[in-house]
Amino acid sequence: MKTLLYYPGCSLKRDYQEAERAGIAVLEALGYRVVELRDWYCCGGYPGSTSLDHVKYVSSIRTLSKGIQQKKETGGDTIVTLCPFCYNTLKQAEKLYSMKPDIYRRVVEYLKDEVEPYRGGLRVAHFVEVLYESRSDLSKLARRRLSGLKVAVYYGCMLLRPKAVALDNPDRPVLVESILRELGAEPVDYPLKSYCCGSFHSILEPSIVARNTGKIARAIVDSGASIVVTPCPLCLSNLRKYTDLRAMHLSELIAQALGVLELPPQALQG
Amino acid sequence: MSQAPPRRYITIFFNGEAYSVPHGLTIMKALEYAGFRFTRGSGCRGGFCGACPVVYRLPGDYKIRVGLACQTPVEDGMYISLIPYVPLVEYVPRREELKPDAGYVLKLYPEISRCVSCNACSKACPQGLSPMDAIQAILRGDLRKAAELTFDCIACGLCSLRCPAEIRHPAVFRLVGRIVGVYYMPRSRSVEQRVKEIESGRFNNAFAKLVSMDPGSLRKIYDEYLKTGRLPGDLEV
Repeated sequence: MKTLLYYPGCSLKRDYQEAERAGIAVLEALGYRVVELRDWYCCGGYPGSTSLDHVKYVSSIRTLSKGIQQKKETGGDTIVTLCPFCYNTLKQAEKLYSMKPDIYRRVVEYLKDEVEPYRGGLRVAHFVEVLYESRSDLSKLARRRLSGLKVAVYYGCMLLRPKAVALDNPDRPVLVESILRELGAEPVDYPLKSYCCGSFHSILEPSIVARNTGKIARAIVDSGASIVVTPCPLCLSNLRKYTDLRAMHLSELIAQALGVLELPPQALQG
Repeated sequence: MSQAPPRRYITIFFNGEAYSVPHGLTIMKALEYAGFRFTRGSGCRGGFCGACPVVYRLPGDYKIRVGLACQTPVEDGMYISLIPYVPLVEYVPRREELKPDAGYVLKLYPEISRCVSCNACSKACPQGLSPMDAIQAILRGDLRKAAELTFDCIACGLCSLRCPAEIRHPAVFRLVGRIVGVYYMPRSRSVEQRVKEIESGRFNNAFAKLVSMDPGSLRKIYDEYLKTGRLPGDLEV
């Protein structure tokens, strides 16, 4: 059984525990052993979005350094997360040595009192990647196929940008759609799949979020979708707060299809 | 004739002056040896009250070191600065206001969301705690973990002084400790029982008698109690 080291992230742990439960249930149904990292810290997404460039890598590099220890104990060489912000920051930290060697050196020097320098050895993956790799199993495992469900996939920014960590084409992503098709769903096409929802502006400039999510919502309604799924807890929060769309985290829809977690009955009704 | 070994003297620097003090003393005792008197920044002298944080450097070392003056032995060439008081503006809510919710803690102390997990706080903690892990636990909504990690906090404030996000750790931890105490810890039945007894007036007579006694009689009763484990009949309840 392959072991995945699970990095939860603050948003899921605090505000979206149902998405977390669903995600773990799905991974376990796919045959993975999911072990939560013993020591993990805010990925750096929050302070990193606003502050000095090297500061945001400190906690991620520390998490990776400590993850290496747990890799030795469990054999798991992949850190998986359900949050695109965490994925993005951790992935960039994982590649920091090649992407920004001067910042890497400074961060490692700063951390050397606490942890061994991180010298590679872990793979950082988002939940979506693991699903994509196991998509043929998904079809076999589905107990409640999503036949005919018109679903819009909203990607947000962090899985698709920058190029060094992008999982798919940022302008025309199809990764999640191909996963959902395995389960019988009919993903709709629409133009704003990776248009920014407004992100953290929800705190200081909510009008930006209202405007952007409004545009996204119109495009989704025009596409004829009855539900929107997103892999991102922050996008989910913004879509739920500023639009009338029925929105859920990707993990919840997949868990519903696999029948591994009961959701409230109204979750899938049109 | 045997002789005591000669006392070894070392030099420490305090407020920019050099002082020769015996080797083996704590910083607090060494400064008292040098003639200073502590009227602030000193309490239990046992490493538990958190009143005597100190910052120092050692010769040839760039590191800022911290500790408690009553616990840290002097070393030759030590540069010392005392921190008698760390300003922490604290809001102490009434018990009824407390909410078992990380959002509530963030509302009172919004600066904790600025934690960049640099871990300077943990390096500063003379109790060997990890304030950073506790702050991170709050950010992910786990107040019980935070309270557990900081139970031994002595509120010296050194972590706050080192924090680039200016987090008021001791105040935050005190709040979290109270929330967890009120909402998650088991209630003490014996305390509730005793409060009822007090309210029922069971101790009123004995208490009134004790208060009206002169110190000599009190002492007599006390000594008798230590010997026999009994109180005079009219004080028994």
